This record gives sequence, C-alpha cells and structure tokens, in this order.
Amino acid sequence: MKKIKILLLLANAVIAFLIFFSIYDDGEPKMEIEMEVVEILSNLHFISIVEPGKNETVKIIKKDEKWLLEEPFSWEAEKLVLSNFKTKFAHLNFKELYSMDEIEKRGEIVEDYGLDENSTVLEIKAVDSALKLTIGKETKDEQSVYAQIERSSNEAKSIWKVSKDLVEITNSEPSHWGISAFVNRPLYSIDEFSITFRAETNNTSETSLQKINSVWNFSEPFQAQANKEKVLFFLNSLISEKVEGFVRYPDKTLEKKLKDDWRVKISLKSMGKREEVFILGPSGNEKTYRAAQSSLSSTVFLINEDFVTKKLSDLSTQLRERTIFDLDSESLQSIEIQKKENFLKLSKEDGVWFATEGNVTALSKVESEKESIQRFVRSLNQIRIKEFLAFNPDKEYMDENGFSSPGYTLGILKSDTTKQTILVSESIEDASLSKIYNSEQALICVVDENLAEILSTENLSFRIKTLIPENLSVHSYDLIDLVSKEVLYSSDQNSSGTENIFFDSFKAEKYLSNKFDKEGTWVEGNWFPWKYKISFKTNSDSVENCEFHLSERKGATSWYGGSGDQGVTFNLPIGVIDQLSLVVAPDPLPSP
Amino acid sequence: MKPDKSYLSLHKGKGRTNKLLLLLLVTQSCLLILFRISIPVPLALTEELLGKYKTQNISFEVEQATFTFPDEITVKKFVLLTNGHKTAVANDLKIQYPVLQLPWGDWKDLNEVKAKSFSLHAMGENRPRLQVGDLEVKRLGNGLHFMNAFIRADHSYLEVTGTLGSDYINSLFKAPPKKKQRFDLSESLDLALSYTKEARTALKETGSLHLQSFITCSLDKGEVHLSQLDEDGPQPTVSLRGLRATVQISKKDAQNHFASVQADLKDFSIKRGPFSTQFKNLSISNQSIPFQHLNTLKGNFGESRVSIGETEFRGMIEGTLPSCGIVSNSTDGVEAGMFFSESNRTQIALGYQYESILSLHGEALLVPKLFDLYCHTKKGRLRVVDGDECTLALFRNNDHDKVLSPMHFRFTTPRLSVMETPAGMFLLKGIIAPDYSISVDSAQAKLGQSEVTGTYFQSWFPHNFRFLLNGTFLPTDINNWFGSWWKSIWTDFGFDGEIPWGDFSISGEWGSSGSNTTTYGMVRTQKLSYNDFAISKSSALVETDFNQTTVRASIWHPTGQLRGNLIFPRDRVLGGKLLSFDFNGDYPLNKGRKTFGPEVERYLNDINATNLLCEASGSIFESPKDTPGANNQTNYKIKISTDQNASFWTIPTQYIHGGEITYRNLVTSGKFRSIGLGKGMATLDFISEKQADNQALDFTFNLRGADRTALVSALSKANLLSPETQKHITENIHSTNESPGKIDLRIQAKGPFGKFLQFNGTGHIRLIEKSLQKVNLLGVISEKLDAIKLPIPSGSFTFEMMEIPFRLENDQVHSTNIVLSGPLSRLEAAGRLNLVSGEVDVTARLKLIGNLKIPILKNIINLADPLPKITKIRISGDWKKPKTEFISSLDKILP
Repeated sequence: MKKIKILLLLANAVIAFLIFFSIYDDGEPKMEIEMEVVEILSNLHFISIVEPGKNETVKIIKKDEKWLLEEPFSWEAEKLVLSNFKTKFAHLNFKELYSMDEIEKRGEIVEDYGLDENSTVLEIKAVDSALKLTIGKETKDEQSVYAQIERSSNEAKSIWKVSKDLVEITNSEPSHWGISAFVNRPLYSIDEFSITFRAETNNTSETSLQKINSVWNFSEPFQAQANKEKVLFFLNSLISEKVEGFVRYPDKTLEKKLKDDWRVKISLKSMGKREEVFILGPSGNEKTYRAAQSSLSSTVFLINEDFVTKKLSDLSTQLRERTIFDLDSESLQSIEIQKKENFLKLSKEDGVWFATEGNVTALSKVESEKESIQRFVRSLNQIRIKEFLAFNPDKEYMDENGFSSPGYTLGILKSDTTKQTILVSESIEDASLSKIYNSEQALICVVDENLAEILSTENLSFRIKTLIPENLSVHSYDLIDLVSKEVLYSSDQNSSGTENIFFDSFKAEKYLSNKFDKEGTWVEGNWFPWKYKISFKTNSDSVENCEFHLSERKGATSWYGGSGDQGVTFNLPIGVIDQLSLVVAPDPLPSP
Repeated sequence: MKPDKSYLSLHKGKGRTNKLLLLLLVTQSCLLILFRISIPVPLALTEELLGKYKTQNISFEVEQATFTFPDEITVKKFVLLTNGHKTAVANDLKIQYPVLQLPWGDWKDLNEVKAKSFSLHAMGENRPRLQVGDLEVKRLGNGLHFMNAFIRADHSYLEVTGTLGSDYINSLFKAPPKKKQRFDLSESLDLALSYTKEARTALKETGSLHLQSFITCSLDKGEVHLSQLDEDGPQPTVSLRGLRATVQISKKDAQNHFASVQADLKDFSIKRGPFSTQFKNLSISNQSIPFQHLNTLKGNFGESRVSIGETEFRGMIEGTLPSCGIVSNSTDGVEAGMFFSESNRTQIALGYQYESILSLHGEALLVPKLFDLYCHTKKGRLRVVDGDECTLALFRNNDHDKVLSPMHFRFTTPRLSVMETPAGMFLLKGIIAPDYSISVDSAQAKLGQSEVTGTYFQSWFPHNFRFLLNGTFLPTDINNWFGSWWKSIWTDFGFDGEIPWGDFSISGEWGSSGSNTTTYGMVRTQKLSYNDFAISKSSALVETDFNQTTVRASIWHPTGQLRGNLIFPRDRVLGGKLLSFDFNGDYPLNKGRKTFGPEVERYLNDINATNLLCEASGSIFESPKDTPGANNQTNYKIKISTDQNASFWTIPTQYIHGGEITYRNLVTSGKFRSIGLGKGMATLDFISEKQADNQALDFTFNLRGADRTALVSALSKANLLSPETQKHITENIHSTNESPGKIDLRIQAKGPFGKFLQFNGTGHIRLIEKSLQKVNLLGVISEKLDAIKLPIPSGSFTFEMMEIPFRLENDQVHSTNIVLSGPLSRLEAAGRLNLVSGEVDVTARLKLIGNLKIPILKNIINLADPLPKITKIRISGDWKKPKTEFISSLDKILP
C-alpha cells in the first residue's frame, strides 16, 4: 500500500511539474529583452554615458519627478532629449549572438567586436532593474552595432547585435542633455523682477518692477507705470536667452567672486519663489561672455556679453509706459483745448457731445459727431513719448522750454472728476514732434506727434455730419441743373431700392466752412461755382424740401456742396460721390 | 501489487488517500492532455460568445477558431462585417483570457492579445484605412499591459511600444452616463473609421511620416513620447521633419491632473503653387495644463508657447523672416498672450486678446533694409521692402465702439520703399474692423516726388482695396505697385516740370492681374510732355476700368489750346487697338508729330506747321508684325486749317483752309480746298493706297493766279529738288517787272508715293506776263531772235503768254504744244524735258500773227508766212543753260 501511495505521489508530482512548465513556458529571449527594456524605461531614473575615449561622462538622474544632469555638473535636463532617448531606445532591435563562453569556443575575443576599454558604456536603471551596454563596432551590414549587454535579470554577459540608432542616442556631451536657458520660468508666472548693476565702487543702481492685477509698475528707481508689452518682451528675452557654455570645474575663487563680486544681479519672483542670477564682469580675451551662476544651482555658466550690455541696461527708459493718454469717450466728461484767447470745449451733456468754440467775445456751440469725438480720442491715445526730458521740472526749466506761455493747453476731465492737463510748448525744432508738460506725472517730454495738427480751437471738424435733419422724412430726391433748371435725375422715376441708403449716407465728409455763398465756394484758393441743386422731397406737403447746392465734381474725392439753411459748405463722402457720379454725366473739363 | 488488485483494494473502501491521489493523477493527466491539444471551437459557441456584440448590422466571420487550455483562443481569421461589408479583419489572432472570468470579465482582464495583422476597412475603399501589424498586448503586474504594434495608414507608419495602465487611463476620462456605458461596437467602429479618415486626410499632403512612439503608464502618471525617423526622397506638398514630442501627465490630487506638452520640429514646409514656405526649428510647449478629465478639457490651458526659429520663402517670393514666438496665457474665459519677434530687423511685442474677436496691442519695430525678401514679378526680381525703421503701434480700443473697431493703429516710417518704388515717408492712422479689414482714415505719404494725403481701405478674401489720394502725384512713382497696365498709361508721358496735382480713386483687388482695378481721378499739371508734345498746363480726367483707360483733357501749349480724349485699351492684344483719339483745337504739328504713333507720323512728315487748327478723331490699331503697315482697322479723320505759315514738302504756303485727311481701309485720301501758294490759290486732292510693294499716290493739284516770282521762290524750296536746282532757280527768279506774271498750274498724276520720278500724268502750265521774253525761258529765245535782226518790225518777238500742256511719263515731261504767244508772234514748240538729267530737247517754230508783212522775206522765201520755215529753233542741253540754235540757214539767207 505504501508503495502505491508513493508511486501515486510521484506520478502526481511529475504530472504537476509538467503542467507547471506547460503553463509557464519560456518566452523567446528576443521578446523578453524588449519587454525588459520597456519595463526599465517605464520606470527609468538613471542614465549614464561614459566615453573614455573623449574622457566624457554624463549622468542624468530623476529627482523629485524632475530630471537633472548630475555629472559633470548639475543642471536641469531637457525633456525632449530624454523623450527622444526613451523612444529610440524602446525601439532598438536586439538580437543575441553569442554568450561569452561561445565566443571563447569560437576562438574569438571581445575586441574582435570592437569592445575594449575605450568603448562607450551606456547604463540605464529603473527601480529594480538595470541594463548596461558596452558599444562596439559596426556590423558588416552597417545597420547595427555590436554590444555587450549586461542585464540585471541575467548575470551572464553576451554579445548582441543592436540597431545603429543606439549610437545616435548615446551622446556624452553634457550640453546636449541640459536645457539651454538659465531662467526656466513660465512668462506669465513672473510677478516681480529687478536688475541691479554694481559698479567697482560698490555703488548699485537698481531697476525693479512689480505686477499687480496684471499691471506692471516700476518700484525702483521711481514709481511709474511700465509698458506691459515691453515688460513681457524683456522677460521673454530673459527666459529665452541661451547659455553660451558651462564652466565644468569652477574653482572656489570663481564661486566666491560670483557671490561677493558680481556686477549684475537679476532677481525674479515667480510662483512665490525667488531666484537670483549673479553675473560677473566681462571675461575672456575678446570679452564676449560673462560667467554667471543661479541661486538654484551650483553650476557656473557663461552668457553673452551683448545680453548684459544691451538687454539689461537702461530698463527704466525702455520699459516705461510711453502713452500719455488712455481715454475712452464713455468715461470722458470734457476736453478743452486752449490756444491763446481761443478755445474749443468738447463736452458731454446727457450722453450727447457738443463742441463749443469761442473766445472772449463770441461763443458758438454745435452738436458733435460721436465718431469725430472718438477719432479725436483715438488720436490722443496714439500719442507716445519719444524722449523723456525732465522729471519734476522747476519753473526756470519750464520757462526755458517754452511753457510759460504754451502754444496749447489741453485739459481733460473724466466722469470720475479726475483731471489731466497737458501743456504744449511753442518751441519745437522738428515739425513731426511736440514738446509737452504732463502735469499728472510732472514730466516734460517730447512726443512723436505734431500736436498742432491734432489740436484745434474750431468746432467745425466736430460738427455733426448729418445734413438731412433727422426729423425730416424724405422719400426721393431730384438733381437739378442750376443753369437750365432741368431735372437731370429724379429718384422717383429711377427707383432702385437704394434710395434710403443714399439718404442715410448723405452727410458731410468734411466741413469746409460755416458760411454759405449762393454763387459758389472757395476751396484752397480756387473758386468753384455751384452747378447743381439736390432737392430732397419730404413726405409732408407743409414741410419744404431740403435742398443743397452742389458744384461739379472736382476730383475723385472732391465734390463740394453747400446749404443755405444750415450755413455750411462741405465736401461729400466718397460713397455719395460714387452714387452721384452714376447719375451725372461727365462735364467738359475746367481750365487748369 | 497488480493493478487489478490495487483497484480491488480501493473498491473495498480501504486506501482512501490512494483513491484521492489516483483521482488527482487522472485529473492532472487530463489537464496535461488538455494543455497539449487544441480544441476547435464550434461556430455556434463562437457566435454565442460574440452574441452580445452582434446587432442588426454587425456580424462576424470566424475561421479556424481553436481553444487551448486553460485560456487561449486562436483564430486563423476573424472578420467583422457591417451591413455585410468587411470592416475589421484580424489574421492569426491569439487571445489569452481567463476562461472562468469570461461571463463577467472586462477587457482589462486580458492576459494577452496577439495578431499578425489587424486592419480597418471603410466601405467602398480598396485599401484598408488602417493596418496594424505585429500587434501584441501582454499583461504585466500591477494592472499594466505591455503593448507593441506597427500601425500603418497609407504610406505613414507608427511603431508604438510601451506599457498601458487601464485603470489610470480610465481615470483620465469622464465616464459617460450610466445608460450610455454599454459598449456599442458599431458606434466605436464608426468613431474609429472617422478618426482614421481625418488622420488620412491630414497625412495626404504630408507624404509619408515615419514615427516611433513610447508610451508608459503607471498608477498615477503617464507619458507619451514620439520621435520621427528621417526620410529621404522628394518632399511632398506639406512636409514635417525631425519631430520630437512628449506629453507627460501627472496626478495633482484625487480628482485633478496636470499635463505638460513639449514638441519640436526641425522644419515644416508647405508648397502651394508658386509659393513655398519653410518654418525652421519650431517648438511648442506647455508646462502645466490643469484638468480633471481629458474629454472635458476646454480653455484654461495655462501658458503655452510656440516659437519659430526662422521662416524661409522660396518660389515667387524669396527670402527669410526672423524668429518669432507666441506665448499664450489661457485662463477661464480669457484667451490672451503675446507675439514676439526679436532680431536685428525686428522688435515686435504685440499683446493679443481674444473675446469673440481678436485684438492686438503693442508695438512692432521693423528695419526693412535688413530684410532680404524678394518677389519675382513681370518687372523682374524686386526687393519687397527697403528703408529705415518702421514703427507700427497697435492699440486695443476700449471705447464702446470697439465692436465695430476693436483696434486702431498708427504706422510711421521716415523712409520706406515697397517693391522698389522710390522710398517715401509714410504716416498712416486708422482702424481695424472685426473682419480684420483695414481702414486708414488718415494717410500722409511723401513718396519719390509725390506728396499725397488721403485714405486707404483694405479687406480680405477677396483682397479688395481702395486708395483715395490727393496731392502732388507722380504716377510713375508707384509703377511697381500695379500691373503693367498702370505703367503703360504713363510710358509716353514726360514729367519734367512741376509734379502734377491729382485727386484719385484707385480701387481693385490685389493679385487679380489688374483686371478688376478701376481708377478715377482728376489731374492738373503744369509743364509736361506726351510723346515729345510739350504741354504748358493741362487738366485731365483719367478713368480706368477693366476694359480701357480714358483720358479727357484740356491742354494749353505754347501755341494754343486743345481739348479731347485719348482712350487706351487695358490690355494690348496683337493686332488690337492701341489708341483712340478725339480732339479739337490748336495743334502744334511740328511739336506734336509723334503724338499719334508712327503710322500717323509718317503721313504728317511732309507737312510742317507751327500751329494748325485741327479737328481729329480716329483709332490706331497695331500692325501685324509680319506685314508692317498692313493694318486694315486703323482709321482717322483729321481736318486742318491754318492762317499761319505752313509747308508741304518744304514748299511754303500762306494758308490752308478746308484741309481734310482721311484714312480708312489702308486708303489715305485728302482734300485741301484752298492752299495759299505763291500768292495764288491751290487745291489739292489725293488718294494714297497700299498696293503690293508700295503705296500708290494719285493726286490732282490745281493752282490759279499764283505770282510767278513768289511761286518759283516757293517751289525752289521743295525738298524734292536737288540743291543745285534749288540754287539755280533762286538765282534766276528775279523779275524786273512791276507786276510779275501769273501762273496757273494744273497737274494730275499718279505713281508710287515718294518716287516722283515714276509718276505718270498730265498737266498744264499757263504763265501770263508782259515782257515774257525777258523771262529766262527756253534759252532766252527772244534774245536769240532779236539778235538775228530779221527784217521784221521790232517787238515782233515780244511774248506775253506761255502755255505748256504736258504729259508726265516717269522722268520725262513731254509736250507737243508749247506755245509762247505775243501780240505779233507766236512760238510753237514741242519737246521733252528729262527730270533726272535736266536735259531739254525742244524744237520750236516761230510764227508771226496778224498781218505782219515781211516783204523781203516773203520775196525770198516766197511764202505767205515764211517765218516758221526760216525760224526753226532747237533748244537742247541742260535746262539751266540750254543751247539754242537755229536749224534753218536764216542767218545765211539774210544779209
């Protein structure tokens, strides 16, 4: 009985083993290494490349979810380089050739495969596995290289054939692996920055700016608004600036110098963290670069001299906001322009703009065209400071610069009662510039606009352009030759459905005069007699037609008109000119 | 113990352990056998297993399905059909799935899936839309699967390998509502097919893309890496090279993730027609995109950065643009960012904001002279921009009209040249509408010699534009901006004096070959010239449409005024119209001979006049090249008159009245009703017609009452005569008579134009002059006769009238009835004159008329009228100094 039992036990055991091996069949070594590579790369935390021939060693490690270059110096690693490394490595083709024993049996040595003490060694490590490749020479087909592979899963070394991409990704040059910038911050995350220059005398000059509610302001050397776009431009230059090189083995003197003897300091605050970059004076024979060090790394790197001298300097001028005005017609209450004893006041009453022109003896008030006001406001908003001349000038300086009796005085009153006053100097050398005093900032500067071309004390240009009174309902118009009295065109008889558009567009493009002469008009020294009359017919019999006199067309953009009722002379807009030219035959040409 | 006894011992109830062991042995043996054999799976069972996926339009075909214990199913071929059409096909499919979990298991419970190939097919397409080769998915520990596949779509392929964590992947997506959680195979297939279609469309123009990808997932993070393999071969329309990309997703907390994306591309090229653009060193990155679920991700991408190293153009436009970049800051509801470019030729910092419309704010500084952009045009390779610093300032409009004009701008430059026009100063201010059309409402420009103000409008797609300009304007300053049609208008104009003043509207569509461009404008000029025609001042209306250019002008010139129209066709066609004209006024013929082209100039060459009162109209067509001059469409009519001195063939005239020249159908005809010539009045009619080898001229000239001296003097200036002849005539013109003779001349002839020695015709000269004998005619014959001392009264040989009817035959003038008549005698002659050699050969006979008695002679000769017999005279030799001899021996007869 016992024997039977033992036999049965043995048989069961044997069968069990057979079953076990049937289930857990060995995979092919080829698939296994690929899976092993994928597993290592999925949990990769260490890469090492040693190239004894070039005496180069590079080690990249993963620390706190960040990849860092550890050797030969500490620097942040470039994500895309690592990504490319992983991808290419994962797709390498491996084919095992011979084990070491088999090589011996074949009478070969590893040196036959290009493997010696000068061979490049690549090592990758995951948490619990590693792979080490010693790279030999190219295979005969030049598509692969020989490599000796040591796997943590298999102690035995063997010679493999690996795809040639391995050589491409095995780059021992540290600059290949590190990021090229020395400030690696998102642009919009920077909330504060300062640039400090220190002279040999230890005197410092600091320019610092702060962002509050998306608005950048200077805090040093003065309090003033900065130009947001220029600040971002500067910061973008800063974070885009590339490292020229690295000092691999900085001596202690250099490190101490960077700490104590820096010439330029860049300080940034981003996401609650502060970072500082210390920069020495020019170095090298040609003085084309400077040594620098960041507070976040012990590595000393080199930056371009031009970056320091051209980009970091004079920021207080470069970054300063240069627009004088930031107005909108909604928040404005009035704008007053004074020239000697004449003035023009644009004022808003119940949402309607009026232009009042006057002097000590006379006043003239007209309703204003909203578009004219908006265009004027746009012109003011476009004025930019070309050059800062003086801050907080004294009276003497003001007088010397022609502000004792300014050419123009511009006063702006906003709905919130804030005021802004600008004096425009009479003295100016360049016809395209103006010198102004901004009382709000106590600043004298030159602006890139001839303000005499924008500022006027006449209300004609602001007068409402509508010519047909709004309370008049017109249904048609006639165009009449003033000499023959013949009706040249009647919209009644030639209805095209576009009359309403014509009525709406019948406005003044530009007023020429607030006078009307029944014979004609003078324009730029030339006399233009009236030739036509356009009569807009109203729906009501009791209301007279609305009539205007017209000259003949004087040019592509010139067709003059006048209204006796309104006492104005004007030029028609191009749309009306185009329409009228369809119905009026071309005339014999006038004399030159 | 023998087996039977063993069995019996068992049967007896003893040896329970052995029974169990035996049972176990048998079971294990069965299992072992099962592991070694593959059992074909019945079709019914297959259908049962796939039943839950089968719908009205989905069906399956399975070939050679086998089951290998414990968990492996292999299928030789698996086909999924949609509406009877093959949609998915898998070959050599192997699935390892725990059999016991089959009824309630999930796809993530798969141990392994392998397929030699898997393909997706769309209905109606021959080729599979997507192919996957060497597919392998294998379960690892920790809920991860190893994955490897070779995916192919057309000529592009993607090798992908890595690890997938289904739980983690699921956590990245928001689960659909419960009722939709049931897996809809049909819907999934449609989705897969539509994605592959989109991918294929995108790949269509990119040629073949060869990519490798590595994917890794763990419990709380995932990474996707992508690299492109280099490709040789011709570049497709759109090509990408050197792509590297990585997406890394990490868990922030239980519900939130963040992703970082980074990609770069060595270059990205696009070829479209004559344009080829290559963007180099592109990179895209975003360090932190916060999200809860990938399928609900929208907006709030944080800071993204795109940068382009350099842009290179080839083809119709050549050159490079410097590097630039965009940094976008996308937060909830706000899309904003910055556009940067920094180089030696650019400093651009423009902030953008997108709130239903895009607005920009900032400044762009450009230095055109450092740009290297060129454009190949019909005018050659032109530099696109040149000049000093340009500044464009853009302002976001905060006013309430920002819906209509979200931006306004100011552009200034002290010196800018576009397309090699003369450099100019520009100051432009305007607004940009929501559709990005540009309205420059204030433009000032000093360009070359032009200084204009005005407005400009530009819209896009189509690229319509309109210039409204006025000021001093030299049209040739902007030749390069428009097509050849613009340049052709001004080719014949010379603007040497003051620059014209113009008020112009020029509108059209850029890039439409100019056919849609229309121009309307008024021009006032001081001095200028048109085809050498000098103008003192003028005003003109210029209109150009798709068909033609019309210039209606009033012109003042040094000798008067002219009004009229010139019309040029827009496009010159071979054999087409070159010009139409219609004008009247004072025409300075000598100065304006070239105005209407070489055809008209040819006919006007023989007429000279300082000023003609002219009324002309006509159309000039281009002559076919192979038969110059043979143009059957050119026509014109020119009426001329003048009371000032003029000349025909340098023969001066005192006036021309009622002149009219008409040209039509290759025939030129003219009629001059009254020409003041030699103090007489002439008429001239002519027809000139193109014949085989030459131009034939047929004319009739009739002159009455001309003063002999004046006429001869005038004729002596004719450029048809040789200088010697002219000199001889001039020397012998003199008349001592107080009233010089009157000449009537009529000639009608025809012959080849310009070859007067080949003319044939007839004519008549009558000269009435007292003391005609004193005129050096016929070799001073009167003197010769007087010298004979015939016994006849003195004064018998006084002639007062000469008539010569003649025939012109090429270079010979023949006359058979030359008559010199006086009160007493008459000389009748016949002969010829050779116009080439000047040889004259005339035989004359003298006759007495009246009852003149010559008794002595009568007796001697015994003839009633003996003179002709005895006074036969021969005049011969050079007409300037002919030899006169008496043929009869009169001198011998007489003592």
